[in-house]
Amino acid sequence: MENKDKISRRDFLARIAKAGISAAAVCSTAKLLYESDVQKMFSATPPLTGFRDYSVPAVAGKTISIVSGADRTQTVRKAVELLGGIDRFVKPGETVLLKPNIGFARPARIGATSHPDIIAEITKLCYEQAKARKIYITDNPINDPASCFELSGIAAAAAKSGAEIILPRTNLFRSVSLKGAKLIQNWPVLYEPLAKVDKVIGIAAVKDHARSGASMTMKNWYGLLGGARNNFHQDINTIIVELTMLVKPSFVILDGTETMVSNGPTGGSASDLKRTDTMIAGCDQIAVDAFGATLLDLTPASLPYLQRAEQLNLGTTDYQSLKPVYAKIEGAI
Amino acid sequence: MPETTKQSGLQTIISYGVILIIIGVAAVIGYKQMSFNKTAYDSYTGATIKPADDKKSQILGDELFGPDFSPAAPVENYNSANLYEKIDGKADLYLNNGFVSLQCRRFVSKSAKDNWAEVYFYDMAEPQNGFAVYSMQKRSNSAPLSPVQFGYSVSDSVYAAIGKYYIEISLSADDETLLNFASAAARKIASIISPGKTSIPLLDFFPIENLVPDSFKFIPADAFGCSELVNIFSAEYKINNNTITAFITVSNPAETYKKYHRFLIDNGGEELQHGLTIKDCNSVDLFGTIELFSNPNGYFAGVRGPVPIEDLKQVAEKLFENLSKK
Amino acid sequence: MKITTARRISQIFFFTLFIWLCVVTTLGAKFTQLSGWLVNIFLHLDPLAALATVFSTHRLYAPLVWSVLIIVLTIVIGRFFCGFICPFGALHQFISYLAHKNKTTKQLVELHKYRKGQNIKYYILIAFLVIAALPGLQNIQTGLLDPIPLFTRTVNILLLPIIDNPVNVLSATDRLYKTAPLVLSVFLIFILLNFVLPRFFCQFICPLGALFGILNRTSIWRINRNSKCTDCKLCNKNCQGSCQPSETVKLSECLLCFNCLDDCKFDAIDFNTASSNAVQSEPDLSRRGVLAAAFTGLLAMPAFKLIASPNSDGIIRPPGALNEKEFAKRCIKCGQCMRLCPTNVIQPSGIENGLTNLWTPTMNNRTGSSGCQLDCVACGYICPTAAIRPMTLAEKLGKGNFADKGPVKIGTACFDRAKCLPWAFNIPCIVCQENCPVSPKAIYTRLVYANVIDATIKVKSINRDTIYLDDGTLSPNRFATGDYYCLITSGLQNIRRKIVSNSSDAITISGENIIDAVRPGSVQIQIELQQPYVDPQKCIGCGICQHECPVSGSGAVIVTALGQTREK
Repeated sequence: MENKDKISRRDFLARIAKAGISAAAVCSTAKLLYESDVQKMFSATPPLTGFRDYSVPAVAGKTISIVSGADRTQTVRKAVELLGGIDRFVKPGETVLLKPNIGFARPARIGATSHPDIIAEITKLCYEQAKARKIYITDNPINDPASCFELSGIAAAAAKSGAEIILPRTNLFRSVSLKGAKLIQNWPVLYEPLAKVDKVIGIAAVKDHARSGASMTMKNWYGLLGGARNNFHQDINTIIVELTMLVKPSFVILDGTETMVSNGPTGGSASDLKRTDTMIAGCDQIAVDAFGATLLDLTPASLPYLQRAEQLNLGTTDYQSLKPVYAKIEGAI
Repeated sequence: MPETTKQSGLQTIISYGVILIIIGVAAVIGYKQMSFNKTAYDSYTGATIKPADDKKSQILGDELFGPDFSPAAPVENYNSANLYEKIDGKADLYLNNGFVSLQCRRFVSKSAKDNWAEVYFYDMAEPQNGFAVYSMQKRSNSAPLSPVQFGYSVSDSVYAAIGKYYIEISLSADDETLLNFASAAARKIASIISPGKTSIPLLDFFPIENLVPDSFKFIPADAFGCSELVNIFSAEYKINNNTITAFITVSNPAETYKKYHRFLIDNGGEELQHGLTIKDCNSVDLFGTIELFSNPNGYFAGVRGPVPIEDLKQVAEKLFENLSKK
Repeated sequence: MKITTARRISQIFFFTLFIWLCVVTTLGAKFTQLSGWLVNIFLHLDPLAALATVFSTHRLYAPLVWSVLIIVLTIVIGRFFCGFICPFGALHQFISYLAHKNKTTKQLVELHKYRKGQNIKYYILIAFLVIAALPGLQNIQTGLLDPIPLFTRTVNILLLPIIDNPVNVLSATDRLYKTAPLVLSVFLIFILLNFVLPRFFCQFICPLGALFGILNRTSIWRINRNSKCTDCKLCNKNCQGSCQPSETVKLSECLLCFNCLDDCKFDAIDFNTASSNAVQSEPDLSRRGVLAAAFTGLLAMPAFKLIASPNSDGIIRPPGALNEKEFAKRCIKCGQCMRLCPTNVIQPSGIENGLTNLWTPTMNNRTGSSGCQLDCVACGYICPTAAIRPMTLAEKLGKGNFADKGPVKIGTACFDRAKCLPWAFNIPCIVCQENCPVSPKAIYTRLVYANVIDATIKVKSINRDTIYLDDGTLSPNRFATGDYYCLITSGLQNIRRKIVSNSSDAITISGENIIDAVRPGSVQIQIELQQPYVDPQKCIGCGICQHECPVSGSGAVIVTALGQTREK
């Protein structure tokens, strides 16, 4: 026992060293982490300011194509072909995101959602003709996301054609503050799916919409917003214009095969739909929507968001000036 | 039992050490608690709302009256909504002349507590507004406050218009020492606001030749008997022992120009030939008082006096030349 | 002098200091008031508050740097904080002394022996630190059990009001805290547990003690038993940490009470630098226990989120509170803001805002003396961890350099028109509009004239300014309040005149001789009402309107979190 009473010099030094190192480590960590300004402690990461530009170089006379016909598979293929073919937009090995409007958990036949035939055909074109590496589909619907993809038939179309569905999971949203925007400030946006692809294609149907007049390709980007987005209905025209500023797609497809003329944007009955047998594709969302408005017997001048987007030079409502390419697919379904 | 003694001896030392530390802590806390933390306190009482303008905030600093005085209270701030609380009777005078804010602070002499000076520091938005309220309240029997161009003192107060600010310092008593401190403070304010130069830009348009020193005046309404002439800045000139008045206004120059012309003619004035090359310059003789006026460059300005037109022209030419340069 | 005497003096001193600091947490310049603003020293010395916020925010908020002093001293000499400083520990020691003073030596030795369960506190600490550090979900819950915030909260919102409310010395009006009963039960449980085992909280629960138990492993001076030991076990008799000096000393449990030095009759206990094999410097932790604790912490936040109430993202917090995510990383539930708030509007949340928000500050405009006082930012200056950040009054009011940012908005008031007197009951009121402190006012009114029910009155005759009625059923002067009007319809013309007085069968109206020619068959009595509206652009959510609203319950004007600045 006696030898335990006295600490050896070595042990004592070791203990002092350990205590000293620990104390020094605590002090230096404290100094390193020291911060007196609270606001510096959390406002360090600047918010994202938007997406990159997914558009491709313009080709005169190939900005908008309008194909009439009843079979969506045929009309959409023709419409894309008239814009210069899918390989104008998608290069081999690239990844593509399709953004259909799948807001509601309703079957495709009532026209509230983008038609699975279009999804299937575009996916096929991307894979076969453009040799794309991967096609993704995403939307942040109003109803339960998984049910929306399932019931609209888009999940089935995707599975069949080899596209991957990205459900709007919470961790895919990022806070975005769009430059020059009033509403999209520090707002959660379905960011990750767009950030990881090379090209983005918007796919929407022509629908009556009580608050904004018409829901078409520009309004379709509403499905990228998260958070309490219903607040934006208080200023619907501004949010549509800001969404148009936010997303610059490679091209958009507007389905006017059956136009929802009443009870939009949900519809619910075949009587809400009118056969207009038109498929529009284009690189200028505003021009595409301006033409789409005519299917609802509206003039572009009656839709304030078109006017305001045009004033901001986001596109033109005078689609005639872009010399649309017209075609007709003969034959019934 | 040497071991125990040693142990208890060490214990005692350590114990006293602990108690010493406790006494130290108690002392520091007692001291801190007795010394009132003004910064933290002010921050929630609102005494230190800093004006946006940094220059402005340093004006009424603790040191304004030097080491012999100390501030009696923090700076008081007033805006157009609560100006009445501070200066009830005269508030409208300021409110009608572009008033933005008022800061007040009282400084007390350290040696004689009854001796104090209160500084009123008005932000009037524009230099001419500051001059206007200064001129309207000008006292006679005053001593100039050189080198401040627009400043003077009377036995118990000091007044000055410096830049866009109007300053009043009122004193607790007719006390020459106190007045000297106040004058020094006013000069200090002047040097902070515009070092070296304290002029009012609008008044610089008046030519300096033959100018009667300290004759600048602001006439809020009914200038020269004409109800249309409002917010007039004027200055006097002496040529051949005759007094000539020059004037400028910025309010409604084009309209005032027309209305003044009509006023003169309606009251029996006669058009004169003046031979000046000044654009739109009119000359009217109203029972011996000659008027020369025009509206160059967003101003309405003129020269008048019961003198030969040639004398008037001397001043007029210079005045309009200055105005056209702008 | 014995070191234990010095320890007792130290404990009494720091306990008194702690209570005194809570007492002086009252706005004012006097010695017995806030004066020097040093009332946070215990919270700033608390290493657990510092460590947990470092884990959650990855930075050390400046005033918490004081805790480094305690950490370093603990590393060098051990858990002196528990033995000499901790006011909560001192309280437990005193209660334990009272509880067990009549026990025999044998019973005392048994009571103070080391128990394996003492390692529970380490697991509690681990779980709390994992919750604090969990990426994306960082949340501080240490305040629930950390003795400094716990005792601060208990004194602030429980003990002081209990003592002061009957006498109103500290506060002119009674201080009310709605979740005080829960605070009381937690406090009582920990006090009563001392009757089971002495200093139960310190030995089994205290996460701060656990932190010290991990830090003191390299301490240079330690309790050592020397060769004079006769193995009598008397050293265990009063051991406050139950670190069993009679056996292998559990260094991590030793809280430097030095009772063993006193109790040893044989001089066999030293406090020195000797390196004895009979010292265990690490706590008794099992790998399985550590993993289980970490796992608990890992799952705690997702589990709490499951039961978060729907309004947990719309909590109304004091002005200057950080956005909810950052707030959750900092608030240690100490209750200092609730204690200091001059109007008592800051209230400890219950579990209605989600379990994790228990005892965090929220605004309840219906309690206290007048909503959030316009010219006050005291809560931001008192907050020890800047969960409510310090800001100047200029910033709060949007003046001076902050003019372009506008005032800080706590929320927005909304009218419940189904309860509001002028809206729902045709009763003039607008107390809210009068009390709105914003200039220009955020509550404005529109004038309407509403028909008073059952007051279409048949006219017998009219003479100058008096209308005589067919039947005399009016209660005299019912309509003489100045708010009632008579609407006289004659042909296409509507004439509305204020009622000056009425008897049972006649109404006198203001203005003279206007309706001699008019012979209406009946007149309508109307009431003039100013119906209030909120201008959301101007409203700052101070809640004074809600406080003043005469409608009982939550009032007819209710502040919601809508538009609050902190989430922008």
